[in-house]
Amino acid sequence: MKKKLISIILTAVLIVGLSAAVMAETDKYGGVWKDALQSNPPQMDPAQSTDTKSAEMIYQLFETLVEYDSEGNIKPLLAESWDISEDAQTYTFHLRKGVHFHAETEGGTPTANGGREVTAEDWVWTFNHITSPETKSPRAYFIDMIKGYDAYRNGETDKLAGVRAVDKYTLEVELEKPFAPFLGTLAYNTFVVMPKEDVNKWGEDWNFHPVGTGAFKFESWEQDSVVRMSRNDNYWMKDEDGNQLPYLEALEFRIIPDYTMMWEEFQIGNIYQTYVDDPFYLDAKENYPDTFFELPQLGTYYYGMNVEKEPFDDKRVRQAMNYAINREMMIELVQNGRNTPAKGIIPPTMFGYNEELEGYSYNPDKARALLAEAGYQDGFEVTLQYNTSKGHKRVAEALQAQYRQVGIDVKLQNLDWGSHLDSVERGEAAFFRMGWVADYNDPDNFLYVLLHSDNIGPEGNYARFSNERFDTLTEYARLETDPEKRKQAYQQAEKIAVEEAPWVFIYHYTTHSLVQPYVNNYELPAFGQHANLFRDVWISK
Amino acid sequence: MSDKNLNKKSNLKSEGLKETSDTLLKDSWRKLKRNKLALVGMSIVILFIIVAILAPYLTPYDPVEQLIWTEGAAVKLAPPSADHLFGTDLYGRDILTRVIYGARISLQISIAAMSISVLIGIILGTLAGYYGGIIDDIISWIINVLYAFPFLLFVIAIVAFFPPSLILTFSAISLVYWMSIARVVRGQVLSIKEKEFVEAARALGVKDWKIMFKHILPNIIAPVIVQATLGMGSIIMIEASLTYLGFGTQPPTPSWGYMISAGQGYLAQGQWWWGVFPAIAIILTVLGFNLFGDGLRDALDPKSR
Repeated sequence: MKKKLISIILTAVLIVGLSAAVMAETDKYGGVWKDALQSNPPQMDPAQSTDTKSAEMIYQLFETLVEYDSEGNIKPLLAESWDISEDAQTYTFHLRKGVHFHAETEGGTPTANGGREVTAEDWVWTFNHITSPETKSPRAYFIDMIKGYDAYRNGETDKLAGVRAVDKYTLEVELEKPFAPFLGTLAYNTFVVMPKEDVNKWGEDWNFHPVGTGAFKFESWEQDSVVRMSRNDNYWMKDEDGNQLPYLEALEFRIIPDYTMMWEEFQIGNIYQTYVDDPFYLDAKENYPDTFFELPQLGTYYYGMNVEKEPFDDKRVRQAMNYAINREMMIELVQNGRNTPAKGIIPPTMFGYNEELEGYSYNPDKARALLAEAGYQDGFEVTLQYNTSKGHKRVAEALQAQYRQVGIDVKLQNLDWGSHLDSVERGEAAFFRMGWVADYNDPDNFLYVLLHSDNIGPEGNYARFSNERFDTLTEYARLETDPEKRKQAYQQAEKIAVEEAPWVFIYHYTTHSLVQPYVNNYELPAFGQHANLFRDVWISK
Repeated sequence: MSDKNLNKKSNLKSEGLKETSDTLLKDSWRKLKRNKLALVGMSIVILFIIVAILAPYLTPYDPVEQLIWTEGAAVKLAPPSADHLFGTDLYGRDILTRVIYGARISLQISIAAMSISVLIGIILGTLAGYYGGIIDDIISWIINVLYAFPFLLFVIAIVAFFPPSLILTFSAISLVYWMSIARVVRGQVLSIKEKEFVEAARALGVKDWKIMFKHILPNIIAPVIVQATLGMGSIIMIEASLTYLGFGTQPPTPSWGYMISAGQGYLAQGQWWWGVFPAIAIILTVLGFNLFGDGLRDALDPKSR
């Protein structure tokens, strides 16, 4: 009898325990992730996207072959593993099995692909689509080292020779020449797999009807108002206990252009994540000590000077512009010390960063002397063009006052992001605010992309800087595979650029994110808040 | 009531007109003096103008000099104190000084914008009212079309198109504000041109422009003054809204609207002084112009004795 009682009690305990465990698991499921975007994402088409707002949307809907972990190392995503040949020119990717495109989208409408499995052929098609001259992808050149790229772009061939499907789950990519950061470029949000049926079906409207393999599928996009996504029930990823991911039912990104408004909405719990503008920084840190995340970001904030335009065609003027400002004090007083003063171009957490780089320190006398030498002893007037944002305005107003001290009268003009970028890309603005955050973790993404003379214009060299020695060094480092030699080449190149000063080097970004205390598993990516993922985030509220 | 009209009519070609204006002015001033609220409004307006004109003599600080670079964090967003009566902003600038200089910017823009509006409004309004017919149709049509635009959006559209400057700001405002003056003028001209003294002038063969300029204009000036005074308040608001939204005058020029927008973020953090003082300045000034304008209307209206 006693035995029976014990066994009954044991069974009861077991049942209760089990159901509690099950409860805890199922508890993670459900809920709508409520988030805010500061501006309407310009693009949902991965092939056309160049900015962080678009990237944040695309990373939820689409997936790349590889991705970065939170420390900035490459890890598998849709490729389970890969082999690299001796000569570092052939990459063989072993694809994950059981990855399906979204079967439904936009309120349950079936997609053109029908939710079929992703195979190596899809990757071949996608790479051809992105690099096709007809697609006009502004980011295709990130992979211009793939064999046959030029021939395909010029129309000499009708396909990209270097990308081949070996079998259903094996993809081979052959490069024209070795390119050390190649894997890193593949983690960029343009190089995702896309279903050809849906891309072809929508044609020009594909941007408004994205279909991918991501943890969430597209629901709706009300311009300048809200973007909605819902759970992909066929998602391939499982959590450690084998439970289907994602936990969240849906994602909702409201466009809230004003940081003050965003902060208010966060405080009353209407959004779960927010950008924290400088005025609220100390409050936020104090009130949310456990869920305020901050990391040094691979990014640089600068004022570009168009070296083709007066007075910036004179190196001494450009150097004076760098000596005239007190970066440390501006960051300390205006930004609560949130960023790192920039001595050069390469951010401190990136490979190749040069600790010994001297850079420019605050020296108004030297600035005045250089200006006088260049024939501007009475200073000059120049307009700084920047994209509308209170943060940029705060920095501009502080630096404007410092330039006034050395006789430079800086007028401010703000434009919306689209028009600003457009005028900067066309080389119309003489003096402009700009920032760059890494697309892949390598100095190539900064030095080659932003300052090589081949990339003058929309490709990234907005200052229209051109220096033969710099070009040679950055080209050499692209091909070299020995990390030590690459590092030396990049540091030499950076030194030249700092000496020539096509930019006013201001600061290296710190990325941050503030989430609600009841958000679990949120991880701030090393690349910046815009790369955050919600596939295993859950809400305990 | 008919007394005055008789007077006017009989002295059409003499100095009688001037005499009537004189009595009208005296009359109005007596009425205005009795109106307490109007006097308060007038005092505010006068104070505002004096402050704007004497700005450099009223404060020891420079409106754009940023003290943080020399004095450090102590003057960053410092609360009101004996040194800085309204406190300082993020850059250590004295907020009282910036409010005072802000009055200057506001006054410059509103006077310039109002002068242009009045000029355009009187010319087009008189032409429309006097000639009627197709001229009236065209001018009224333009006014109605312009009225159909959302006011502020229209100004923003103009301002956003060109590089920012003071001249652009007041030109854009006057480009959309003239029609409220033109409407008033047109209505007045319509009723006055039927009056006997105008008909008499016409019968005597006086030229059109002379009738409009010498006989009609002096009789409509009172309502135009009222409309312009009331409009000053609106224009100050428009200018502040523009700079609040980031258009119009640019930093470091001290502008009330921009101060509110920059200080807004710090408002809830306890550093209220950056945004609140310029807001008070705007409220007071607009209120002043409105009270004064209302009082003027009552005082200048010959029907309310």
